[in-house]
Amino acid sequence: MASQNLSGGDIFGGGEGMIPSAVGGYEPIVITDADVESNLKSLSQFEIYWRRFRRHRLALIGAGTLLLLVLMAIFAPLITPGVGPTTVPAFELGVPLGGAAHPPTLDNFPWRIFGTTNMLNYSILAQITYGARVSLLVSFLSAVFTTIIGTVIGSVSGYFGGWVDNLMMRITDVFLSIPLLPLLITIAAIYAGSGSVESIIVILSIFSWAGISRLVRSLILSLREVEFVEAAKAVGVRDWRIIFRHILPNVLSPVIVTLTLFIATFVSLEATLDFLGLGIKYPTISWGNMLTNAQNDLLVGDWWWAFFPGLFLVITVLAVNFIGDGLRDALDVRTRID
Amino acid sequence: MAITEVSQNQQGAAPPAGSDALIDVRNLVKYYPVTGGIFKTKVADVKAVDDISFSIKRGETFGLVGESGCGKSTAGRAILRLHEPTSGSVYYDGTDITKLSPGEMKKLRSKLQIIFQDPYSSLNPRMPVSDIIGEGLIAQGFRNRREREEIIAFYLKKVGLRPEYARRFPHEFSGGQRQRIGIARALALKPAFVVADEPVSALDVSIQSQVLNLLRELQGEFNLTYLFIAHNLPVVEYISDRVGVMYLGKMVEIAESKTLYHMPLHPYSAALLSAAPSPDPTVRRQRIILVGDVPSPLNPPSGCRFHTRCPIAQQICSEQEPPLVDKTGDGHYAACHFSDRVDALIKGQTTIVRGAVIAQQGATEQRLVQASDTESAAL
Repeated sequence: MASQNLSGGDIFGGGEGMIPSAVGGYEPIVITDADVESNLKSLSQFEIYWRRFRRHRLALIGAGTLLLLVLMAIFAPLITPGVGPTTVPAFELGVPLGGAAHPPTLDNFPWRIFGTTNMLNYSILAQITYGARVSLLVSFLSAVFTTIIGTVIGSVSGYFGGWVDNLMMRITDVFLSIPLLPLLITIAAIYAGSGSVESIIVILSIFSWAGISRLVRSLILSLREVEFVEAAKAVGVRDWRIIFRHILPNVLSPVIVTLTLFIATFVSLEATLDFLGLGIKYPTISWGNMLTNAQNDLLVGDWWWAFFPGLFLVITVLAVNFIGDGLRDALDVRTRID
Repeated sequence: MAITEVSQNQQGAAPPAGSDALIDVRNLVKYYPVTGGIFKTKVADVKAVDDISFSIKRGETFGLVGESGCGKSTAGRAILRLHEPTSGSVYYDGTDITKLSPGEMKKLRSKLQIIFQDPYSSLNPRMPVSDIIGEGLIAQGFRNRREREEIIAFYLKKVGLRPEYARRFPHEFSGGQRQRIGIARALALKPAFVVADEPVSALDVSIQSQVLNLLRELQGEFNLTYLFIAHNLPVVEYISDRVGVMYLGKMVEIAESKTLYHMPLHPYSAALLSAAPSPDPTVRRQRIILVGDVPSPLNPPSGCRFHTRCPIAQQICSEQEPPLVDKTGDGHYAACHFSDRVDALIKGQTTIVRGAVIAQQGATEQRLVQASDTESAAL
């Protein structure tokens, strides 16, 4: 029956392994080394991602800047040897305290490059390098924890469905419906005594994951039903491989992009909390509480105490946003690599 | 005939399976539970496929038609156990695959393949073509990368694509090319049976014919058996040897393709055929216009499921479900109490009555009888 159908047209047929020839008639399919060689050399996924990222100039600048900031935080004691955020540099010891802040100058390089504080003649340079540790640590860790909590809850919810999904999404609803800042103010007020770095990280991560869990859940719900997952099942691919090769890669790229944006959000959120006096407490220095301490100085015109921590905050947020932008392009398969 | 009686008793009406049947579907049922309330208890079933039986011969193309939501795609997926059937059996080459363990099923997967409707969502956008096609090969035990690439290159050439396309990603291809990749993925495992789930309905007309011809060509070359699901009747007529018509989860008619198109024995098939546009503008045909929507598969009508929209329905149609029986003795199955009146319906010798069927029953019956009298007199 089927072979009779085939006789209906001369445009096909030709038998096993034959294809229509360019010169008419049929020719056998010949697979040469050349057909296969180039495919064997194809790039791995990470090489492809890196090549795409590399082409994004702003993202590279952002990544470079962020690397410098991280190095600055790690090597703070080497940048300002012998001078901590709350240490008075030796040459300042004779200078009277209070009201005698120095504007940025190259004298006594590098201690006064960003100026000094007016209270105790602390070096703003030292405060910024040490403050970077706290600010970057809080924002990176909070963003990572937020993403992990959100991804796990969203995946479980989307994958298992049913009452598990229902329960988790109602909890998510609760977290989504609370306005973040008033809540953080309340929690921080209860915590007020400590104001430690750890507590700020915990507070930020616990109250920010709801959005990500919604995102991940919706992605998994739609991916579970998508035809390429069915196709993979139809060719006998194992469940774990379907999860790791088909579902997760399609979930991870939006999640990674969201993660970078969370870093930027948390850098400024942590600064906001500090500024409101609810975050990291003196004598631990962060960029946020430097701004808090600078409030009165701004009024008398000592702009440098507020300007430099603010500048570093802006640079960090911009750098991370550029990286997020670059990652979005790098992880998008539609971006060409060459 | 004995077999026919048995199947009548089963209410499922399995057409007798010949020894040459590659796929034999028996009383296949697929319900999707609908849950509601706080505790997510089951409140109803969507009866997507409700007790269908048919068999497909080796090397044959079996077309499955019906309007959207009639359960034809669900049937295709349930046969492959992509969606686990609620009950019923599917015999592949004599083995009931619904009873196989996951491990045994995985081994058999290479023999049972599927081509999807949507060439966009059926290819993972993050995978290059060589991974898309090669994945099944890995799953079936081809560990050597070079060997895989050779097989991939072979099938890419076979479906009319260049082997170097293997490095590209799906978004770099047109719809027709993507569908060819989907076909290559299915073929690379050397299947015996392929479910083609509306493989051309997402493509534009010029590409449709290319892909249809490719499917026919491959069928001859690899000795494939197709279950061809579609709603485009001319396409199904072109490619199928036999056709099954589904309505609301039930199989209402099975016949040789030519027979069905010239002499349908179920009013629903007749209505479907009359709705298909003809390329010949001089042909005037009686249109059988169905009124209303398909009833909900949550709560299908009693008796014959088509009786709410059937132009020739009678009292009995709402009371008794007509079994799918061989009406002509040569393999033309129809599930209709009045299949002998369908011909008159097509020729426009019946006044179309809709809605208040039962109220007008007497009058309708009379007209119908007259119609069939005229018919026999003409003969």
